[in-house]
Amino acid sequence: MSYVIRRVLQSVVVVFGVSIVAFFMLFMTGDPTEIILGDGADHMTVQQIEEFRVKMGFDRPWYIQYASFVGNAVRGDFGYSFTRHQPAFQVIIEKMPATIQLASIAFVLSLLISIPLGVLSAINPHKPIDRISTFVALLGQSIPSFWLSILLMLLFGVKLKWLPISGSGTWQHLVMPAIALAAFPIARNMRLTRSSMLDFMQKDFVRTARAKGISEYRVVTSHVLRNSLLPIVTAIGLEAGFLLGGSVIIETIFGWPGVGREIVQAIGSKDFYVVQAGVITLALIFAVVNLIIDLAYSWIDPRIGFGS
Amino acid sequence: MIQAVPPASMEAMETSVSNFAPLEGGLQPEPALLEVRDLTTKFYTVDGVVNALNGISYSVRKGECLAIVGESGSGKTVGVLSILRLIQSPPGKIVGGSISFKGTDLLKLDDNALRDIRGGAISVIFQDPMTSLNPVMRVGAQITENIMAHEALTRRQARDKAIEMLSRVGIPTPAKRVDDYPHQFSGGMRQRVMIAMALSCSPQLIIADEPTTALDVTIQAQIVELVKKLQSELGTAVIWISHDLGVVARLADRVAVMYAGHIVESAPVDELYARPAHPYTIGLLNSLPRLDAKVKTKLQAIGGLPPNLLGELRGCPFAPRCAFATDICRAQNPALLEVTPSHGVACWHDRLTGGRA
Repeated sequence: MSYVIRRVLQSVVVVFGVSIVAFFMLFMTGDPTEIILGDGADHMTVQQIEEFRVKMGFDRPWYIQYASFVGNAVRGDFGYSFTRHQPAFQVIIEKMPATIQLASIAFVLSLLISIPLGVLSAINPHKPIDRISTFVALLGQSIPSFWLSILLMLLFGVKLKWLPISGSGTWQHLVMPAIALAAFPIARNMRLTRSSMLDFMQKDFVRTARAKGISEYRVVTSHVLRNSLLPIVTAIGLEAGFLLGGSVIIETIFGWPGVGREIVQAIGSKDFYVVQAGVITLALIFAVVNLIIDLAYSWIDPRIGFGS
Repeated sequence: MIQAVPPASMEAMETSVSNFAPLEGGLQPEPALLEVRDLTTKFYTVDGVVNALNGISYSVRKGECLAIVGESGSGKTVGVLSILRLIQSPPGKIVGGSISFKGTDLLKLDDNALRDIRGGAISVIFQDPMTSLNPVMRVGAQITENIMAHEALTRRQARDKAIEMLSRVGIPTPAKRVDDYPHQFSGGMRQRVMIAMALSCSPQLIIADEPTTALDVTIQAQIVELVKKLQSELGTAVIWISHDLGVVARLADRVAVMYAGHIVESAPVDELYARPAHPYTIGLLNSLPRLDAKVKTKLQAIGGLPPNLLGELRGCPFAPRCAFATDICRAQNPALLEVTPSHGVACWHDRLTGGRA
């Protein structure tokens, strides 16, 4: 149990660290008052600007500002979006379902393809199935996702007209972004599964398993694959976080109305309360997912205990 | 009945190679349980062909304990793993010979029939209990898996049997330990789990591949005693691989000495220790530290190194290290022939009869 508590505390520290970075981003880009007012400041008197500064609290020492930032943040209050005219946190939360939908489809897709392919490759080393999937994996890892996105759009959207080029609403809208987002994880997890499986197939206990006279299928699944899962789960854990937070490019290209695209737009319009809300929310999700993965280790590998 | 009689004089020896009969099962009253003939296994590596096993022959009778001794790399393990075709392939490949188990040639069986034998009639205890058990599977599950592959039992019944086996090999509170993982056991206890697993389907032959090498000495003794006890209770035949001649003396009925992928000498255990015939066996026995030796007595080592098995060897593989080697030794490899009843040796100048060359 103490392991769980220790791990939760670590996650809190991580989110706290991200909050510091997110907070000071505001000051590193210049005087926040001027950033917010932008061109509008040209039509204001110095006194008006100072009044605005006081109203926003930017005149206080930074540690007071940070304390109130954290105090508000834990209550879900990240300030008010200047462009959306609603609370920043609400802007992010409203975009969250779209991001989660895209990320989870890409996630499931990547697992469904990469692990079986990796297993097939590993049990048929240097056979055609292995060579083909290793080559496809090489492509998947090498092609930048934005370029793949554009190729997909050209082929399925422009030439064949099978799928809508951008936007959201139907399942067809999901297909291309999900593939583009999953391409890299598919490739990486396939290679990881393959090498991990090949590694474990050399182990003594696999020979023991064969010496028992159980079927080769059982040898591969309950002995080799089960042990190979550990490094794969590590990668998957990190990936779940990246899919949620790292779909910024894909979301922007396909006009997918998710958190990533919202953050990019907010950066463009200097709507930094939304940026802060987005960054911290994603960090929180990242930390929670990693926490879940870490706890899943102990289920897969009994040698990693809960400290008991 | 007895075909080979040691000639009275050296002169007779030199001309009468035909007096030596090949070491056949013919001396034994009942057919052997396992009969290995000319077993040859090679490894096709990037550096070339490794001749790990160069035509070895031996037999094991019902309930007998055969020990195979030799130094690392002599082919002991490859020799016994080849029986169940458990060598890694590629690069390993059994290229010749036959392995007759109760009249069936194991090398000709298809995968399904071979699986019935593996873990059933023939089971294996591996060398290192630390790495030979699946770390993420409960020991009980690892034993029941073996049982259920061979016996028509429900999961519940197989589990009860696993608990019974664990108690039989001396694991305290087996009903509780059955749900533990391998890392929760000590090395000796893990080897007991391996033994429980190997015995779970009442095999007729157990292959024990250096089962005590990875254990400390007191645990070694416990494991040897355990196997001895179980063997006498169950009447199981055992092939015990070891490089520890002390362990072998306590356990074996017969001993085969391996060198560079050949069996160079084979004899009943007392005979071998009392009257070793091959210069290599003599060297091995002389190199043993003795409690009754004078303080400061130097251990006698065999000079030189075992040959590299990459590529073909000419002549007797031991010739380069042998004090008695002559031209014929360097030219031609001697066959394993009986010099006295049931005592076979592959040497042109064996130290028992003086030799055949």
